[in-house]
Amino acid sequence: MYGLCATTLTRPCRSVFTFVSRTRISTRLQSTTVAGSDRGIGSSGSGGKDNKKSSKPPSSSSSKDTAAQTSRKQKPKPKHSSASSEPPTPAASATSTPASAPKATPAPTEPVALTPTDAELEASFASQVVHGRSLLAAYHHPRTHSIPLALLHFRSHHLPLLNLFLHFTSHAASALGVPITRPASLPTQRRLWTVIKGPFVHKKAQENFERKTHKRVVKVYDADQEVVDRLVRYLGRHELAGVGMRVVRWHRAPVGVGRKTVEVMAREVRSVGGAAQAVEAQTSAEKVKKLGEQIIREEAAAATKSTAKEIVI
Amino acid sequence: MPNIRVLRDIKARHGVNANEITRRAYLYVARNQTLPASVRYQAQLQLNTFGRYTRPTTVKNRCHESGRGRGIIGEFALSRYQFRMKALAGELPGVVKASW
Repeated sequence: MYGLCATTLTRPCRSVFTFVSRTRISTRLQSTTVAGSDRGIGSSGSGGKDNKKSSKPPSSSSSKDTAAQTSRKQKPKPKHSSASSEPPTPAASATSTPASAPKATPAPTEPVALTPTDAELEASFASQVVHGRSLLAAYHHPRTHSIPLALLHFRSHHLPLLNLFLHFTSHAASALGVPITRPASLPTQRRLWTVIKGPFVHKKAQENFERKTHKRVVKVYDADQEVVDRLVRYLGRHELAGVGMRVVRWHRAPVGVGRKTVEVMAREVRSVGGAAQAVEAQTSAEKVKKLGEQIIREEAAAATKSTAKEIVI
Repeated sequence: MPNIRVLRDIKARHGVNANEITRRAYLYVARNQTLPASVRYQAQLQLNTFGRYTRPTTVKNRCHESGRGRGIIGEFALSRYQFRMKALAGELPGVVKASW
């Protein structure tokens, strides 16, 4: 039993891109958090907060120089990868940033839709974008504490579909900064049917049909429960027809939780009405037994009545 | 419109589901060695009054397309010929001609 909550071991992943920057030790990523967060998957809750924006402007100018130097040498970053959820916005912003950047930088005092610092950040971000990033394999974040949080099982009859969804999952997890394993293949299940071809006789002419179920597992580590929630919900919202997903979640609870739940349940049973609940929880075997005993009583009573009548007569 | 035999089978399934517990209760009484013979006898007579659409032996897997009672593949509720026709047409998800 884990005595500590996962949030004490890993920083709460409110702004997922700061988590990423910490692990990859790349200053240029800090400059892209503001731009990326607007397009990020898990930013619906944290996107409204301006704490990131307030901290960014002082570092943006310095990080822009380092960004230019390091952008070509370093691995393509995963930020821009999962564009499937918002197809129009990344493309639109990527194309618009080069146009808006030269206008904004020479005249920062002019009232523009974007503030000058945002425009600079957009430009730096756009310069580092690797187009077609989503086609390449996703970056897998390294585990910080190797604490397993979830298991994602995928099943499909069609391998290309399965691989596509796995690719999508890896990019989604990468964008959220969630460390996941590479997909592990479980043994393929094969169901075979041999049927006679014709509707009548001709036993020797038969045909084989099969149905293969391919299975893959991905393990999720070291993220905040909220982030894992978001990832799972995102995958559920963008599920692929022909691929089934099953999620096993592990929640960390403080020591003494077992005793507490038993007490809570006992209290509930006593308060609500134990008798009513007990009746509902009766299994069919118990119902049969009760009914049987009732029948015995009825039949015994009927038997005694009939014997009494005979004696009288 | 499905086959009349399929309809009868559906009726039997509904009847069995509705009366299963009552039947089992009477059976429990009728087969109980510790009870007096008269009670057991009465229970058995009561059991005989149940109609055929309450007996689980009446239930039989049938092909939903043709109503055939033999050569049924339970997973699809189809006879072997219907299964083959639908599989070749691609109407059964994941089912392909096997080759190895």
